[in-house]
Amino acid sequence: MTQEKDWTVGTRVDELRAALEEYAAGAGLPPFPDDDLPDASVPPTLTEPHLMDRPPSQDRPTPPDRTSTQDAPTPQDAPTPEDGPSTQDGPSAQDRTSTEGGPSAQDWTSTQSSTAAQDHPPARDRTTVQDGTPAFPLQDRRPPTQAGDGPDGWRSVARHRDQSPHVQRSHPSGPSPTPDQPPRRPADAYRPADAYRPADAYRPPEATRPAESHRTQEATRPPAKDPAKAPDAARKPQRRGPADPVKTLMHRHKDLCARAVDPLEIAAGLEAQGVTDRTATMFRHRDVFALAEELFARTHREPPRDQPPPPAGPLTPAYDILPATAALGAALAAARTEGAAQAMLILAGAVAVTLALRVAVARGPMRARLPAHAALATAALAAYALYGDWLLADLLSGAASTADFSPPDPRTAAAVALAAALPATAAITRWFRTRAAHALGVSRDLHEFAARIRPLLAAAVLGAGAVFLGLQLAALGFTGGEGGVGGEGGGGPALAVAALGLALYTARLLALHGHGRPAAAVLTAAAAAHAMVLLLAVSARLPGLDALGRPVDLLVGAQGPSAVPAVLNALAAAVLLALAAGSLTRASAHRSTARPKEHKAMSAPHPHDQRSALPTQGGSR
Amino acid sequence: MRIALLAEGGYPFAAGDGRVWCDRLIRGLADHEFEVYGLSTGPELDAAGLVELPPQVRKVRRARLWAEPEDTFSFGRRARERFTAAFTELAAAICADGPAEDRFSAGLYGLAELAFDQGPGLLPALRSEVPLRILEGACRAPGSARLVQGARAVDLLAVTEHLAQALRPLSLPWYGPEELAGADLCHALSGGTAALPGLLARHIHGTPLLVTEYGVRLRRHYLAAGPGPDVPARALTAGFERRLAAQVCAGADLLTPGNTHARRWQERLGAARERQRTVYPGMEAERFAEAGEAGLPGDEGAGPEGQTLVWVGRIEPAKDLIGLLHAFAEVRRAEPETRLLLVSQGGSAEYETHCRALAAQLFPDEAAGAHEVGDNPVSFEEIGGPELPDLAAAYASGEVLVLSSVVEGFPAGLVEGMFCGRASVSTDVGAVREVIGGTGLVVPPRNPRALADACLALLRDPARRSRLGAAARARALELFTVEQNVSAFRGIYFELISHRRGRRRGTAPRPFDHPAEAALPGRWAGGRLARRGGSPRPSTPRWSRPAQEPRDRTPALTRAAAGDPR
Repeated sequence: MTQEKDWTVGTRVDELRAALEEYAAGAGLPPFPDDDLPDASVPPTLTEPHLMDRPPSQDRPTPPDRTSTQDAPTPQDAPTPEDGPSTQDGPSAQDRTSTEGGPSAQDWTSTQSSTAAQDHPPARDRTTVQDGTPAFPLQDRRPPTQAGDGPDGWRSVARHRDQSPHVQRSHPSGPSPTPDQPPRRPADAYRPADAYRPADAYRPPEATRPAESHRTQEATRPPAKDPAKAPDAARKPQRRGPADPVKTLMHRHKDLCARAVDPLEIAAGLEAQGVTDRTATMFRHRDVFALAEELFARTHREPPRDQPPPPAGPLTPAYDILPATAALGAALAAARTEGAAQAMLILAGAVAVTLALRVAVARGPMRARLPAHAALATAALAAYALYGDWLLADLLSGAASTADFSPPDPRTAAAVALAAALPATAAITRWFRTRAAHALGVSRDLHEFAARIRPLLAAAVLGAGAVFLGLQLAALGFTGGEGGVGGEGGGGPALAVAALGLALYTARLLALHGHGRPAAAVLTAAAAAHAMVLLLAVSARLPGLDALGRPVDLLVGAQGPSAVPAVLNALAAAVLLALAAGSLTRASAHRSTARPKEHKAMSAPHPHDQRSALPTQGGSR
Repeated sequence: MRIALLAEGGYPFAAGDGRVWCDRLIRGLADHEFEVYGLSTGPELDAAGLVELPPQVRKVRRARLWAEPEDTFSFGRRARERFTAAFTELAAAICADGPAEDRFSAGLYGLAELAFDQGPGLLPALRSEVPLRILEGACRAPGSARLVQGARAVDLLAVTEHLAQALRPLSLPWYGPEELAGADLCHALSGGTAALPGLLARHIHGTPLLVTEYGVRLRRHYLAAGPGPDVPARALTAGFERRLAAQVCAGADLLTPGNTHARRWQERLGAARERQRTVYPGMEAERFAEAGEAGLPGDEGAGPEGQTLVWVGRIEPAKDLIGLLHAFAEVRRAEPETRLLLVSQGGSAEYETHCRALAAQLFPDEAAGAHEVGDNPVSFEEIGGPELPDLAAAYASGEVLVLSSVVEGFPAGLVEGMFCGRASVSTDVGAVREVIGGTGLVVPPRNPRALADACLALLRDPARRSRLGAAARARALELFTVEQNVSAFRGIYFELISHRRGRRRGTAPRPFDHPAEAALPGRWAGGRLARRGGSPRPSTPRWSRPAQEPRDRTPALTRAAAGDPR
């Protein structure tokens, strides 16, 4: 019967008992005592290693330290019966540390030992007691009273096992199996239990039943049990690792895993925290990269959130009013004087206004870099705005020489109104940049961003134009329709200077978004056109070149001398607006609003990255 | 020979990292000419100036990676088409999820050739609208990685900004015959952007490229990315850096990682084993010579009493001094007369306070007798006092050197201890096992019991201690000196140059017609006439005679016109 039976885990206990008795009868051994076998009413579960007990024995010396027996197969696997357990003072340093730097044979946390116990169970521990009896492997679920009261109960069984052919690996003295006889199958009944041998060899059965620890049987037991129990108290807490240690690691590094875009990034972060390849083997991976791949695959990632818009640029109203103040002062002072003093005052006022403008713009939201010739063009245009109408009128009026010119009347009110537009336009610019940054953060692709930006740009430009025009009309009304110290009034000059203001503002907006060169080119062209008009008017006075001045004459005759700058400035403004509509609706122009203006260091050393400081470590000492 | 050194943020800037070993390398190879091409990564590097350059350095060229150019996009139609094609390949490789090295190299070298032909103008092109649209299309393409598919406009802007910075070396005027084309060898002092000019020089002119990595550049990129742009932008930039690192590993003629850690990363990125050669960093050994030779004899008859464990380093939480103190408590339980000396070289002040408090708690003061003033067995010292005038004295004042770090890179303190002939007990972190290599005890980290057992084993066995110390000193003298580093690089230079064919003639090359030694100044051929006192006309073989002028350099155009494919 025993040959055909497959003694696997699902064996029923009564069949086991029958097989054992048959074996005992066949081998001529005394029968197994009844109380050595497990209770038939209790189903066997051979999957709980902590219930696989060994019987205690009085003579068994108890090593105080169990960790050395927990490892992967040590050379002590199949000792002779005379081999006792390791010495009383615990495993020597040689067990723990690797000799001379090789990989240590013992793993250094009990987490690993427990996982090793599960997937690489310790081999059958043959460390025996001094009398040479190996342990009894069957589980014991009976109450302690039944568990082999006398020391002979277990030991006799063990001695019988000792003589079975299948434990002859270390006990060659037993009867060898005859060649024609098949191996003693009842002994195999002990065999499946070997796979679930407990990690601790010498734990008495009472220790697994905490409810019975207080029983009086312990008091009546031979005192050898106490040393058997003492190691339980002195033993280090056996940390049973979870079935999934990677989950713990994932939780510990959840920030790193959540923000990682790459398994290599997780590997870099883990290495910076001290995880090495040997640590990765604890998690059953070959190296840190494989562990990082698993972490990357298992991390749950949230969808990207909307980023908060970057903070708005500075608004400095105090500085913005400076140019207007300076221009007003100069204009009022110039109104009281005449002739050369007036010219001097106007010049001084212009210089002051320029300086104030530079300071105010540099500190405000309209800070941008324009090429150098843009400043010259702006100065030329502003000068034409002041004196140009008067000069053109005098040139075309056919005066004989400079002495016959009418007294110069600069349009100071228009200039003051132009300078006074700075605070409003700065506010408009700031609003535009804030809304553009918000649109950039919200829009999902470039098409959507362009659709969001267009109305913003239109609103900004229209607002600026309205500001300029309104201020010019206000200046016109303030000076009683005379447009300044002297000279003709009317809407023409107002329109001209408003168009100039719009052109300048659009040029600065373009420069702010990285397109300063074409804007400066347009301004230079406009200044050159103004100069060309004056040149034409001058050259028309030369004999034989009358035809040159005819178009200017026509224009001036129809609308007045301010029509010329009106047309030219409006043209420049139109070109600049077309440029802005083309380039400011693209995302590449808003690069500077996407991030604050700071220099990103491309390789900043990380505090944990000691390897980056390696060459200085190696060299700076 | 002319060696072009390529560095990013390091040598020759005075505030750069890694400048000391470069300086040692250059001074050690005094018979070569060096040209330094430095890329500065921030305005602070420019402000700090340059280090003092040895006379071997003939030229220094610098460029800024962080500066914004002022030009506008000014490509013609044909150049624009080339740019679009190359950048499409590059963007597809960056966004792809699998192996895409061929597309990346096609895109990168396409952009490089465009920049080489067109001159400056690549950078404004990278900042214009065209790359944004291309990148957007690549992100939404079917084969792209999952994380980049949610890229928004602001992410695309950040990525093109990063690309414009990283690809800045493409548009630099460094590839002419007077610069990288005329160099015999390009030596990149780190991977990534620093090796990019070398890659291009190799692609265009065939100059051999040697890449040395002591700290992995890709790893530094990952760790340095702070709370910046969102995941898609970082995924794209990380994809670019990863592909660039893989391209460097594939395109370099030889890679020299500084330790196994860098080697592992290079292997992960696809470097071939036969192209890797580990060259350890070098340290000066002369200052430890006295301590090393004196500490070895058999004067250890004192026995375990009165022995000292010594620890040297920066006091930081990564060094796990608390574990060391607990281990020392175990040691003292077994051997009550031992002492622990902690030599600090700076570090975190509050961690030092913690350690001092713990030491005061664990170890009461001890005195020699009832009427003596006692002191703590654990003493915190610094270098510079009367007992420890210098580092060698610190190592010499203990019998066993202890290292208990949890995180460690290359353990320079351990190597210095090895120079002093000290047996060591260290934890198995970083490159420790590789450095020790069997001449000391290695224990697992965060295990004070194991550390204590190992220290006790060494303290009780003076013969073993002296054996290990002698072995450690021998190993350090063989592997970690400046001389071995310099001579390793000298050999590598020769080897790389000898693999390259002669560049001086347009005819078919013959074997040995241009040996590597011919590029060195001075006469290398001896001969009978040299022994007899020399004659005005040395009898050298005819085919090697023109090689006597090492300064002759044919321009790249002539060589390219002669049909030299390299």
